[in-house]
Amino acid sequence: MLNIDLRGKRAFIAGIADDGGFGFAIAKVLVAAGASVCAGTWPPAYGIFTTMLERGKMDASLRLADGSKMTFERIYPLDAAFDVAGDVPPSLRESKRYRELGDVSVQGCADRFQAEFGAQSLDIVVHCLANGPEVRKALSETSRSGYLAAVGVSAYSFVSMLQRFGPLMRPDGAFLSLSYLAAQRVIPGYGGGMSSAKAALENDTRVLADEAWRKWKLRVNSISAGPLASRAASAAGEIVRMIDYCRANSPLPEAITADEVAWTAAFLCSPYARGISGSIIFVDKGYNIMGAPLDRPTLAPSYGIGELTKPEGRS
Amino acid sequence: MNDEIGRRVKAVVSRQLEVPLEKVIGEASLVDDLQADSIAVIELVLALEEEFGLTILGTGAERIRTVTDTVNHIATLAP
Repeated sequence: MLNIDLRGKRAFIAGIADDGGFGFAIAKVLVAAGASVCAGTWPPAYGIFTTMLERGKMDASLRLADGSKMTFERIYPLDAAFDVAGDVPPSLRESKRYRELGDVSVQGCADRFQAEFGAQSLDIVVHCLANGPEVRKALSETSRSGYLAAVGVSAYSFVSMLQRFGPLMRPDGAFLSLSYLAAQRVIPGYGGGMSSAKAALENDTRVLADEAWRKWKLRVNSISAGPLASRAASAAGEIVRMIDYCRANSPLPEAITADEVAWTAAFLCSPYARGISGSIIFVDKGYNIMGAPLDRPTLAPSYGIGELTKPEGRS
Repeated sequence: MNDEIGRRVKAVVSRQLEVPLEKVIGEASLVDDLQADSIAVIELVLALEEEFGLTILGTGAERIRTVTDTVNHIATLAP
């Protein structure tokens, strides 16, 4: 029997702030496969996330298939907009949600990690954070600062994390990010430079795959996930209608689940994926391959094979 | 009893949202008047849970808009 066995591996997942997103689902699957998992949480959400875990409010979500409850080995505050402590503006550093958290930069996080676990203590890094302050604006209306903020937090942060966590990783490790179809195709509503950020992230996945193997013997891949109504995605708006649209127009006519993305993540981080690097793997029910919609009555007669294959929910 | 709950709620709101106590009046909207963002509202609810030793999240707390709503909601939960 072929099993994904990650026992003895340690993962760091950047971008978990609640139990509703891809990051949390990936953490659970990696733990179920035997890995220990540390999380990086955006400072404004850090207090809430850790308090809710402490008070048992996420116990149901933390339950694994075998009945045990998963735990995070560590949870670090991480603001991926900043590479080193000096980048954090003093007003933010002294604000209520930051002032007790110490160095929340990517470097600060890597330093804490190394102080606790030592060098060569990490096997898997998953980058699942993104933010675009102007995501609800069309690209043609986006300001320079909004665009650069989106690219900085959502794409450069991946480069920054590889720079700083790469040296802590054991050979044959895996780096993974989460992308979205808007990197390659036009998705109206995914604005503010977020589509630009995902395009950068995907290109960087290829370039870094080459560099990271030569430097640290790491593989670098990205999952392009279909839409999920996580808290972050809901902030971008229109997510529910996008999920409905994808369900109606995908070869596999269902909404994706966070678990489906997490299973692929576990595979990509496992030795079974040692032949894959620099790839963008779609986990989207096949939506990306379609060149014509399935739910438009105007096209229906031309499908021919119609009734037999028409799934429920399609008109 | 609501006076006592009100006094404690206002103290927690003032501390959590970093606004002077005199601005924390009954009809003050947490979001519009006291400038609480969505994260601050959750932080406030968690702080109120600690203050009153109650479970508040998941009990309809998302309907809370004002300080008075908060006091009334806690009054319905308090033993």
